[in-house]
Amino acid sequence: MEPILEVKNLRKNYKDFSLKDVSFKLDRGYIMGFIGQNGAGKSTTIKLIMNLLKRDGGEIKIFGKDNIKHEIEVKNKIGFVYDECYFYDELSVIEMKEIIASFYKEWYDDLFNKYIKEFDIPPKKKIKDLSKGMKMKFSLAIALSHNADLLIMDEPTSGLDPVVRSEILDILSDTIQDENKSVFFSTHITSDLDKIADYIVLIDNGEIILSSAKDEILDNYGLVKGSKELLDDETKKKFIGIKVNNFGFEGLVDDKKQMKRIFGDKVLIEKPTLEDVMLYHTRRDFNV
Amino acid sequence: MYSLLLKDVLVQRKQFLYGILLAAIYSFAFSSNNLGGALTVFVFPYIFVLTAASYEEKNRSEIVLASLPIKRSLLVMEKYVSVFLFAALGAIEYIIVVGVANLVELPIKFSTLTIEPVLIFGLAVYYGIYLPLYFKFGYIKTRWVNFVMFFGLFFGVTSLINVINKYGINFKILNPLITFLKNQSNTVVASELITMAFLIYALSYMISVKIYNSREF
Repeated sequence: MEPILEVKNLRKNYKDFSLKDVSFKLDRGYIMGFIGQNGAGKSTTIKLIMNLLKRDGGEIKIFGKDNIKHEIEVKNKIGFVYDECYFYDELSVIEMKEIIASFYKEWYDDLFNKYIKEFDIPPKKKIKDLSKGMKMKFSLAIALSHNADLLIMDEPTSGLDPVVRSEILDILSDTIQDENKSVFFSTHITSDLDKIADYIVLIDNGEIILSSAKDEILDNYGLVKGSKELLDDETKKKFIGIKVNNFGFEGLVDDKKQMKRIFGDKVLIEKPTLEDVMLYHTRRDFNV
Repeated sequence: MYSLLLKDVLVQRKQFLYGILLAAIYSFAFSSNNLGGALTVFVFPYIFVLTAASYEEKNRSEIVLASLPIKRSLLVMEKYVSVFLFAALGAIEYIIVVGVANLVELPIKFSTLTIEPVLIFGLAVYYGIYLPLYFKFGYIKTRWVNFVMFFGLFFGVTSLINVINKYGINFKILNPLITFLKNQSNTVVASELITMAFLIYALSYMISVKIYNSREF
């Protein structure tokens, strides 16, 4: 079966920033976490996928179809949630829903009503009077009510309190119970992905520097801690990034078994979090 | 299309109350030259198209609209249609105001509303110029352009008429056109004006679609 989302050699050039040959693919039934620092290129990539920006090169296929040539068709099957609520503040929840629903080929009012009841969103309230968490949940209810196969989310959890974040993550997990659906989820809050992501794509300065199954990363990568005397030019090369201080070093490696063979019991090897993986890959002062 | 128009009406529904007040003021103030109705019809799109655009820019809702399964040409078309929708709503509010005033037999003279083809032509030319600029640069950057155009139009036309009256300037170059128009019936001139308005509006729409298709958000 073709991937639900395939990005190949995607390029976009600005004066001071470029997206350089970004490639990755997402199969049906999975959640992909798209991580990177602010300004790394996450939103630019998502805007290109949604055709909000014009690409300078490369290919984007959604459900096997070009995202521009088949724009209306693919957008009918995409649910989107952005980092902010861009709906009309002046309209009520129900008015905004009515307007948006009219543009989708499929729309399920019963599903929408179920979500807003579950999320405690008052239907007659104006959007400007909703809290940030409620606005985000309203966006999610809209995204989930037209039988979308692909959910595209750009930092949906940023600025939300942990309870709302957890609720949103639970809903995403439920969505993926249907094996035909997938979620593409950008965030810099990597702990969200520890819970739900199947795949991780890490972008830094417009380039993809890691794209792999989350479990593979967490099984193979290791956070190595030891005395700084153990480090020499040769062993340093094995690290993705190292932090050295007066007491010793801490570094990230992508092959912890190899480290075990080299250092034996002289070092402590821990399982890294996705935050460790992102930090050691992207912080220039940690670079080897 | 209906939903897009409805959205532009709903976001500013309270404004329609001010619209009634505006219609009443114009009707009374311009009763001597009977221009109140025409002015209301012209001013309504100025207020309501711009207010809708300002809400769109404030909420950054173009991002949502561009993410929905809607052709951008339809988003452009909606703005062009909304000009005449708001003009029609202006006419309706005006008729209501004058109707109510007549009903209660107010001892005030109000101007009557006549929709002249030149009014439709004026709207088509005005928004035919403004809307491509709006789609290119957005509301904030073009609101001064619109302001200048709007007041330039009123003061410009008035000043031009005064100058012509004062100095009796004879535009020889326009004579063949004036003769041509004088030799035609009112119906023919009206249909020519409407056709020209349609052509200008259609050309402007095509330019706007081209601009908006390459717009980035």
